[in-house]
Amino acid sequence: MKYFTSDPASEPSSVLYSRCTVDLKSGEIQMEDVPCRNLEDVLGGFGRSFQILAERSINKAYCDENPLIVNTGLLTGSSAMTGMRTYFSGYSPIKESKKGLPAAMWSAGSGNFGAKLKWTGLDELIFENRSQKPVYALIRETPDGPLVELKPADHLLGLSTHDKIMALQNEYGNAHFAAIGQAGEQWENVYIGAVALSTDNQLKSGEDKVRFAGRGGMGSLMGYKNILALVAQSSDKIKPLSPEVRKVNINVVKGGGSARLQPINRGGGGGTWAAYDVLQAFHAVPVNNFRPQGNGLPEKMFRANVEKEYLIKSEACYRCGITCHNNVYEKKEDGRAGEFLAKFDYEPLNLLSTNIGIHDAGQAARLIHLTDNFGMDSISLGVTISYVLSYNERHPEHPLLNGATFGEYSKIMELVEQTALGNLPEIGRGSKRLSESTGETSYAYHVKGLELPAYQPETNPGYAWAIAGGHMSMGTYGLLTREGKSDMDSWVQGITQTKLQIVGFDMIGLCKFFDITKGICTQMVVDCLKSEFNLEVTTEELAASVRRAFLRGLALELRQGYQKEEYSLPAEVWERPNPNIKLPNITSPEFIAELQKRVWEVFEPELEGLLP
Amino acid sequence: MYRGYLNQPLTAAPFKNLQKWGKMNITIKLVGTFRIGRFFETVREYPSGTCVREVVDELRIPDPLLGIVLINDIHAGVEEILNDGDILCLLPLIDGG
Ligand code: SF4
Repeated sequence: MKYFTSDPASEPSSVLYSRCTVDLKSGEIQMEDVPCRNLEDVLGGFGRSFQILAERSINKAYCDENPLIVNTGLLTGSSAMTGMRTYFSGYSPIKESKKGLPAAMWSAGSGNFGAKLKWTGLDELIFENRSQKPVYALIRETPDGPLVELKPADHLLGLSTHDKIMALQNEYGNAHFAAIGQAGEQWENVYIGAVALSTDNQLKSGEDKVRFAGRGGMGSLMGYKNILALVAQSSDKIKPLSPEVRKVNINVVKGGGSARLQPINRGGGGGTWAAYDVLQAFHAVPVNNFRPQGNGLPEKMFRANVEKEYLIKSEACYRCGITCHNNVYEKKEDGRAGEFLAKFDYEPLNLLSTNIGIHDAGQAARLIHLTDNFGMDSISLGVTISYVLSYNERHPEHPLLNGATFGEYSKIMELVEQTALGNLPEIGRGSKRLSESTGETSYAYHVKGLELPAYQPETNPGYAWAIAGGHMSMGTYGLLTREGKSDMDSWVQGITQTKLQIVGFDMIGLCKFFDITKGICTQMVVDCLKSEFNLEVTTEELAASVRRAFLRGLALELRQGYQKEEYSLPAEVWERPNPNIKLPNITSPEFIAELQKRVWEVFEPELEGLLP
Repeated sequence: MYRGYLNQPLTAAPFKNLQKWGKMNITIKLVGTFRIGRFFETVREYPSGTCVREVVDELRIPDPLLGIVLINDIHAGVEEILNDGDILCLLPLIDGG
């Protein structure tokens, strides 16, 4: 980025970002410095990429005109803690309106790739068209600025995410990597491919401790374009820590905002896995395709119970003091760590265990491990499999696929493998398409074509307005469970004002755990921008920019054919209310109808003029 | 001995005036990491007028970790006054996945 102003909100065009456009068909590569149009462009991430997507008219995800945009946020690669995010954006193969048009989508991941990409001097890579042969892109720092080359990638074909990264590591030192797995290569039948991002820990240990940009099938779009991997090679350019950023970083770790994500032995809450215990207290842990049974089954996956048999280590992304990863290892007889099995985060864990009837941590670890190595979004995969299992339970005489039902580990394992290899498009194309083909849509747990994360829809009607995945682009998942809000005013206020601000993290390059409750419109972020770039931005300007970016996403959905009635929840929620969930019912048809009316009353007038 | 978040021993000392004031029995349920070094569920005697905050402080549950307070299964705040026979459930925060 080049800054010729200290006031990017008023003078955005005085901030330039470095873009490389790669035409995969012709091999032409164009570098340019692009003036920012607004603060969203300056902040980056989806705030910028969605403006590019909005300029295109795209009717199907797999077409030459649909770009794959890889970018970072303003604070990616900075000394601000968690500043490691990379964003992948494009029209999604998996998320589509009922009209059949693909939705614009972004997916974010940590790991070290984003910082390395930034340090090459590049802020954005746009891949146009499609390569005839498999390639990987090498982005290098040179004395004359960033250099991008396409290289043949036949030797990477068929390798897992981890193996691709390790193979490239043998060729490139001082580099980090983004790679798809076999699933992304099978893009025609797998719309849920993820992009794996390498970590320092992975490259040093050789263990597959990878981070993922999982949602929305960006790995499949990458596969369609025949790009198997990206390599970012650069020296590390982290600035010395200024007193201001040091203070912010100390506040991130010690100020309490991230305490619940920090390791238990440091007095923290133990990461996102802890949600299991909390949600179980309300019998709101998804079980057997989002039907909690009011019993103790989910407790088998509580950390305290898993710890009896396995060793759990708290680990972190490079330089991050939050240390939110919970890596599960075999426990040797002497109590030391054996083989690394998987990383247990709440979403993948639940959706690949309790919600598909698996209550054995070892089996869950193997399913997560396999899904990660094949490079699939564990949320979309888990939820589509749970749909299949639920269908089979209802139709034992005419089951789908291999007839698997809840808890049948080896049959479920077969479904995962065969999906990744492109042999089960029924699963690989997601629950919306599958349920439309069976005619039984009410218990397909997706909203707007994207599978729900592991929070019961009964607890979160806000899912309907999430623009890129239920829990990370609309922060209402705790409004009922955590805050106890069941009144209409709180929900309208949450969806239309406070909780949409969560998407700010997917612009600026920080992990949400930097300050998940307050978002990016805080003095901490203001101080980082001033210290790192001498930019003076107010919290109000940040909030307005995040809101515009969110609303632009909503406007883009409508332009892609979404009807208002699609802003709803899976019908089973009110057709078969679950009496086991110990929370007030806020998903009756009447409540949803009133919520829709009031939310659109706020949003609709603001949507005008946001798209070109 | 588990010494709690603030590295101080856990005691039930703050309520010395139990005799002077009326007493009440409160069932306390803890969830998740709050159980480590404490208990799952117990019944304790407190003076009338005790609020949730006092119980939280007594148990040395750190503020940043306290996410949800339920009294008789209904969400409540830390300033809420408890009544005899109440079931108080303390849960950690949940946030994202
Ligand atoms: S909070 Fe967790 S995911 Fe985010 S940067 Fe830190 S260790 Fe990585």
